[in-house]
Amino acid sequence: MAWQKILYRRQNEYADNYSGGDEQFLSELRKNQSVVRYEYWEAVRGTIILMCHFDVISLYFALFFNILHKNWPSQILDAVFLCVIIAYIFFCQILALKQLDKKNHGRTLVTLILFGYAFTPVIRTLTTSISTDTIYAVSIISAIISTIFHDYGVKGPIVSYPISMSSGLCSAIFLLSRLENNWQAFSLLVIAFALHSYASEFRLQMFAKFPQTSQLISLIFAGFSTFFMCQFSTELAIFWTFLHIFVVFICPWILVRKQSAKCTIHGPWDEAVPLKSM
Amino acid sequence: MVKYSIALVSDFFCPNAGGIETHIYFLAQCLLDLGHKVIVITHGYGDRKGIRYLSNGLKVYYLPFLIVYNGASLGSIVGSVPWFRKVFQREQIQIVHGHSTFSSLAHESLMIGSLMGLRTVFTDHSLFGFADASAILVNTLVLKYSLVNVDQVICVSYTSKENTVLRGQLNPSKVSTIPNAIETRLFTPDSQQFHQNPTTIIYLGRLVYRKGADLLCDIIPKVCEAHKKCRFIIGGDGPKRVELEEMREKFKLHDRCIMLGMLPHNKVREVLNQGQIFINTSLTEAFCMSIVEAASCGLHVVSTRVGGIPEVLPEEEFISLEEPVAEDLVSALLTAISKRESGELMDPEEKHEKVSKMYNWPDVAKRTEIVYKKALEGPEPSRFTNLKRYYSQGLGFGILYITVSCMICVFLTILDTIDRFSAKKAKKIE
Repeated sequence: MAWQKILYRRQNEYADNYSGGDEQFLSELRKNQSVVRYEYWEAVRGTIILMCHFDVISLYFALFFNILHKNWPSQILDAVFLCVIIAYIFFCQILALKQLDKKNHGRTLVTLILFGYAFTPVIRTLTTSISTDTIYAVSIISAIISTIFHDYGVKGPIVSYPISMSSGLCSAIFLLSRLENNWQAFSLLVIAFALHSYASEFRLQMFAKFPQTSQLISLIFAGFSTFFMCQFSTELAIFWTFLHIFVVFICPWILVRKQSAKCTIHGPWDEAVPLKSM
Repeated sequence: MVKYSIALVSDFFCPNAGGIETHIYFLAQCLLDLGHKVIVITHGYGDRKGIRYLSNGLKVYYLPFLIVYNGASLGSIVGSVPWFRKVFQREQIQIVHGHSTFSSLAHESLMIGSLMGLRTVFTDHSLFGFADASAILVNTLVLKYSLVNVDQVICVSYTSKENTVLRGQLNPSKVSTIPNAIETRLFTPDSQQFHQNPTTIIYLGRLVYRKGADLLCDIIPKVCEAHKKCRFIIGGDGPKRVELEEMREKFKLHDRCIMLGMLPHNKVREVLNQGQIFINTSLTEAFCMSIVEAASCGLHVVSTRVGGIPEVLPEEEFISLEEPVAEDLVSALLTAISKRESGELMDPEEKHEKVSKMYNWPDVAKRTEIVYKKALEGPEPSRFTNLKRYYSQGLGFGILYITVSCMICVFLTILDTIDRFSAKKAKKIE
């Protein structure tokens, strides 16, 4: 009698360590059923999204330092502030996925701006007594934490919007304490807020709807951020360029090369996923 | 006939109740009946420490280890060497038999036992995926190394065997499949209630995600809507209980969906006897004792087709299998209900007889005995080959295992020397 994969009848003619021989043993094993294979340029386009955020963060730091040391006239800050507002309106009108509840949104916005404006003097002087070096170190560390947990459009356990946004804002608020002027502090606060709370969704929609333009803008951002960094320190700018090359071109190459090693095993022992009925 | 002396080791044992606990208890009892010497080693439960004898004459060592997570003890390895060594020597153990992947005590005892030159057997009771982080860690860091030096492995179903072979990278011929069993005398049907009670569907089990509590929550209102008279009885507790109670309130099913909460093990039969159909919604299961218990009580089983469940009972006659989709399970339940109403279901007494023949503990013990025999017939374990096998499993973590093994060897030698000296001294005094 042929061997069957059953337990309810004792199959005396077969030993207990027999399990169907080569044909039947592990016959239900499947490999790489749900594996995604990436193309090189597809991966490159993905890394551009990542670098875009890095560049924007470093541009924010450049803006802050140049305003602080009065290298730039304060009109530039006002211009950036205006750009952010335009970007916000653009986001609401064109990019936002579903029609926004305008009344509700407006109310939140007004509240935020009023409270932000009213509390700017408090926020600005919150960490004044701490030494400048400490402030810069903590600010950069929290900015790095923010980029680690930031949502770059890929679902992963590490992605956390609240952690990313609060550490990003934290980084901005530390910096504000070095400024003398309330209006400047308020503008930078609003920019930081827009940057950390809307950037991920804005970028996601932007890259989905206008991919070419977005890539071009990312390129411009990369150029500017490297340029401003060069003014500050040449070594850092060189490092920054290499980081860009490494992340955008070499990392995708490694990913594509290593893809052939992907091996996920599926079989009847997998935990089933119950389908929720409608 | 050759008699063996066997130590069954697991973190999970009485007074706790569960699949592994019952398995060890009944296996030990049947091995004792066969004339072998059996002891059980587990960790202390509260006040229950030291050596105890259970009412069937089984000797249990409750060792005072620290319990850290989910009832598993802290694997201090070197710290537990004196304990295991003393117990193994005192009881003249030949075979160390560890149970369950989750039990660190079992892994420790297998490692120490094999370094002491004893034969080792391991029984796996659970299925693991290959996708989530915890499973990968357990597979690559513990199981792969722990099983490489084990002489024989036992799994509870063929699916479980495939899974264990893949996880531990084992030679399939080293792995035997011996199913669980149930004590059918404790699960007898009640024909009167079976025929006279209104159609009742029973669910027994913890109300957690892995047991498919969400599916159950989806199924009950649909079945109640399609069939106006049937009722549900749910026994068990867990984090998903709130959701079920909410569902009951939302669809106003208080009188048709009875929730009993946590059930003591001796009440299970009483509850099963009230129904005619048993629903199992597990999402993963190596063997599933509860469906055998239900079938033994004469109930027709409707279950999800996952893990080892399709191997356990003959389809159609005893069990209806469906994919874990609410709609499919609902239609299977409705078919079962109409079968019950037209009297097409098998007579409970007849079903009980058939199940009793399928699964019983003496048979399991006899099959386990063969595995023990094979373990003893295998090559003599040597410390050097043990280390070599760790090395062959990959150097990264292998180094750690080799280092720990060397430490254990040194420790064992020191303890042996001390023992020899004290024995000499005792002789001199005499």
